[in-house]
Amino acid sequence: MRHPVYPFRLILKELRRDAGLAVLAAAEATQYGNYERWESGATRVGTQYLRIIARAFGVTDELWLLLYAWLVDRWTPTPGERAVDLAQVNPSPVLADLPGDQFAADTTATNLVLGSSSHLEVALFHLGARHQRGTRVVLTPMRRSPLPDRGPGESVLQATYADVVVDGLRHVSRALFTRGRYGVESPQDEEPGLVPSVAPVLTSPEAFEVLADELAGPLATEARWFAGMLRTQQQTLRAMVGAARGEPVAPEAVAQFIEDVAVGHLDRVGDVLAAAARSDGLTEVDSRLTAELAAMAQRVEARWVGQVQRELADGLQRLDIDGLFDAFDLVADARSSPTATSDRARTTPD
Amino acid sequence: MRNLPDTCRPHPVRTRVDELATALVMVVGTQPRPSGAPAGDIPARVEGAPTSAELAGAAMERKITDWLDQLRLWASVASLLVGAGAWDISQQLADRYRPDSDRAARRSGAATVSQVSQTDSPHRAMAGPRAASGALRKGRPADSLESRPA
Repeated sequence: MRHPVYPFRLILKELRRDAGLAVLAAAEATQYGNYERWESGATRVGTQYLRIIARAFGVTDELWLLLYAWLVDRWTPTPGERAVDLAQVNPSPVLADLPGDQFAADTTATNLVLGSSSHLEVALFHLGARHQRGTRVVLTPMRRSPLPDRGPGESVLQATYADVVVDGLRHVSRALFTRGRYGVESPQDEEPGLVPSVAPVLTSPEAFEVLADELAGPLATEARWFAGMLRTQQQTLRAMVGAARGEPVAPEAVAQFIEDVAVGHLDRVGDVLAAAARSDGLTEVDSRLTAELAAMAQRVEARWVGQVQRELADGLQRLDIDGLFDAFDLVADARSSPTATSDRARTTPD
Repeated sequence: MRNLPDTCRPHPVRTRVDELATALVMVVGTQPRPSGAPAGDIPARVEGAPTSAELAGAAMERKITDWLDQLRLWASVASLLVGAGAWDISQQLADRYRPDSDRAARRSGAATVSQVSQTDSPHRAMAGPRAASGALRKGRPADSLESRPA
């Protein structure tokens, strides 16, 4: 499905109107004397102004959507131009200049995986989710669309790009499901692409309880059972980790252990188990629980695969978990090589 | 050969030993039987069921393996559940973000993303876990790219 791309200048104009500012007032508020040139398209908004614009127009909570709107308009080629592969154009200089304000944890659905990320990371994540082609993020030529109608109380950013959260959630869903289905193990010396921000959700009984509240049917039942299991097993794990360390441990140590499990650092987990065993603190595993978990994995998998296969003709085999967080890697690259060579976007005058 | 893992490559010393052993068998096999020795006194097969159950540490090893198996299942089930849950939530959201043909429905009062983010499922679903995980992870630095190695 092709998603429309909107001219950033039109979005800017709507934001200004929503803020109740005249052009002159906007020029003052944004500290850019030629403000009208942004809206006319004579000049593109420079990266250094995006944070100021968000503040001036009162959309700091939606900064990630503002950045998304700016990035997608900036990088998407117009008809007649070549598709843009972000890995090829080296977007580092642009990204390095974009505001890295921390994303407030309770603002959108992206909290599922992006709780402590920056607005820029959230924007890039969604850009990658929507435009991922295998292991790359590719923007194909698009004619710019007129702005859509808005509903009551709906901001222009919501009306234009809020649906990208669906892509983000599905991206996460496929990644987690692939991981759960084909193996969770991550070598200790490898940074697992997906997990650092997901791990708190995967290890928290409360997460599964709230998830159960949100879902209906069998999946809710499974999530609730899993939450209960996590809770009851924490005491067992606490004793085990304590035995491994030879002293009582704080809940944080257990949380770290569970996180290692969730992240797939099973080599670390194995070290703890071995240490517990050496000090005679490793109990027999509850084989009934193992069997129940295996059965649950099969049930959930069967249900999800059936659901997805009904909707995705291209199936699961095209999923590439290694490429999922390419957009995040771009940010890391930007930070590590701020003097990288110019890219296509950078050559466009601001 | 270059792509084989080390364990699959012929070991030079082992290969030499194998050659010697083969040669020895051939030499022995060609020796005339001692007179009077019954034919067929070499068993055709060696029966056995090797097990590590009686080895020192076997019980501990089994316990660790059992635990690892169970914990691996924990992680798999957790991923599957959250993955499936995220898909369900994305379905709910997708229904709200139908293309323009359905925008009239949204204009007529259906939830906007603002409302969704303030009160509805994705936000509410994850506000709890975030708070909970924050408590669980008290004292630990937040996960973010800033803390990731480049």
